[in-house]
Amino acid sequence: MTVTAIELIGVTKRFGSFTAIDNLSVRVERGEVFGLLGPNGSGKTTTINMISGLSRPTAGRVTVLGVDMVADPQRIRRSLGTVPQENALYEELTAEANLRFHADLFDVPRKGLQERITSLLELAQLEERRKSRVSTFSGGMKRRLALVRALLHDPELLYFDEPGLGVDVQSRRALWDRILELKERGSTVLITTNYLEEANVLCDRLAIIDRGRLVALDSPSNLRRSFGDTVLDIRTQPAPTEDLVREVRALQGVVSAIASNGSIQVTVEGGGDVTGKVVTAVVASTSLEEIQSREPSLDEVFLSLTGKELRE
Amino acid sequence: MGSLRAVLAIAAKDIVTWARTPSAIAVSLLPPIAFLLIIFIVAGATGRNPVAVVVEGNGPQAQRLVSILNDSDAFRVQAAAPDEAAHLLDTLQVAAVITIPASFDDDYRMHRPDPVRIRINNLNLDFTNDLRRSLPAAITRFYAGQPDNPVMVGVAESDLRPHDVDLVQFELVPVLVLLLTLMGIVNGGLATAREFEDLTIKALLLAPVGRGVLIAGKILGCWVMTMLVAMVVLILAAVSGFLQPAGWYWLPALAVIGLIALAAAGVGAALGGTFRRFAPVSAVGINVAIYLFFLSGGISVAAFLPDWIQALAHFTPTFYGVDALEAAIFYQSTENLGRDVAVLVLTAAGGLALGIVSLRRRLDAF
Repeated sequence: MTVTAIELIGVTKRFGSFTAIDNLSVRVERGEVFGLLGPNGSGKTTTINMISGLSRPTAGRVTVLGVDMVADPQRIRRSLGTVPQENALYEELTAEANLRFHADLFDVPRKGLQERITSLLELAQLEERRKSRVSTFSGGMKRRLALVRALLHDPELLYFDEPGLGVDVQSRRALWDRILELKERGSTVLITTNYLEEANVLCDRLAIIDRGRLVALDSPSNLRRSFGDTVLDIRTQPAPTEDLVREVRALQGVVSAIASNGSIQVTVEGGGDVTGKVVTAVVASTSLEEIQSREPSLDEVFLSLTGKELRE
Repeated sequence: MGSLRAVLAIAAKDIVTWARTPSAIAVSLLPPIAFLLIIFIVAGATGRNPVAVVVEGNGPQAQRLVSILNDSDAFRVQAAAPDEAAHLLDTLQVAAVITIPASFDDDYRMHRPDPVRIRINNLNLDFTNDLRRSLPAAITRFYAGQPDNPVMVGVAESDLRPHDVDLVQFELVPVLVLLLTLMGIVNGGLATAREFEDLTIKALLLAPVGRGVLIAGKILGCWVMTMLVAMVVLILAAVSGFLQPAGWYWLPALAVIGLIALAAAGVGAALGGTFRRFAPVSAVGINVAIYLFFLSGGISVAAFLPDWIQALAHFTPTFYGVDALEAAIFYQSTENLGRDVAVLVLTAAGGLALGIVSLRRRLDAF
């Protein structure tokens, strides 16, 4: 059995003259929870569509569980459980009817199906609502139902598009718990998300793509470390001047220094020595009111890699 | 086996969804129901004109003429005194007042000129002419029954068809065809458009089944749904006596219904794949079905319409469907059945091809 769950090799996807994905190479190992991050329009959906066989690459190769997606998409779809962002549930059908319809599409054996549906509805905490139409469900209930529907045919690989989108905090936590349970059972899970906290909690590794290119690929902790060891939030009175910010930025071991709202945020590498130099520079030019030291967040990593401008 | 299971599941899902979507039911059933109501109202209004009859003489001949007017298919007779009759005419409760004078019997015996008077509310030429034709016809009938009948010229009628067909019955066939085309086109379209609008199409595309299975399921669902509704209507019409194909003529009737439904389902799938939205599919589908209804003789016998409409009708597949159903249901005839069925088979094949090609292109481009 191959150890690679998904492999994209030099994949390019063009729509006319527009290049949505540019020579992307990524490998997802079996049993890991892999996150695909990127701003709107970065190419996440296009990548996922190619992995799930909804579209074909213009160039390059996509293999899922060792099978070429172009050569045998139906075989791959049989092994792939998908939770689309829109849930794609039939609102006029009941929760149970939605699962039965999915079972028919995936040719799940009828023997034992009733028990399987019951156990999945229990997993989604929807057993009491099995005969209710999906149109009467809350966003969180629909999300949970979409998740167990994806599990119905016992897929080797689960793809979850924006797990926490449009659901309340409790439902999001419940979904995260389900995904982490799947991880413990050895399932391979691919998620796309814009919630960095979600990626941090769930993912073993993250790929950040922007404008169709891979800009970073590592574990959440390594990605944070690559941004710097420590972030110093320093509040001064009066506010730091441009000269002070430039002076701090020029210090050895300082990765970045940004002034905002009467504070200066400094990212450093090299531990206490560098921090000491920064504090000395600040105190020499203004009055230091408060200093906080913390690890860099994934948000900061993400913004530093993809920029701050708004995307459509 | 898996493919068949998926086809049946998609079809069943579409039927259940339709049955649980009041707007889809309304869109497909209300137009035929509205036309049916109009037909009942028009048939009631134009079949027999309401008239008041003032009988001033009580002789046997006067009474015989009243009886003939009563039995006539042209009038709904209400006996009235002169003042009352004038009031009924003024208040539009009757279309005319027929007065049989007190001297009627004497004048008849003496062979003096016919003294029957009629005062008509000539507010439109259609029923005015009906009245102008009907009273002389009743008087001719009155004379025809007399032993000393002075009118020697008579009418010898021979009918092309074995029996008369009531106007409502006759109009039910095009309404049934309207129902079939509406159900097929609009519901086939909506069932497909809804998948794109709600993005449930993703659930289908991510299943391990081929595009052909998805398309077959969509078209089968629409066809079965259309046939189910058509069967309910046909059974109700048969039980109530309005539409009763005799003996084996049920078979061509059902075959024609099935072919129209199949063509409409294919066109509906194509429409849904093209527009992918509920509103434009409803609007276009209803308009297409209603134009087909008019062109296939929905409001009148197509053969009696202006030449240019007749020419258009001959290029309208539902025209052949109506013709075949009328022959099978009303006249127990196979006249033109071969031609009609051939046209409908070609239309069904064309509709299916259109649906398959259009939907496949849309699914591939998703």
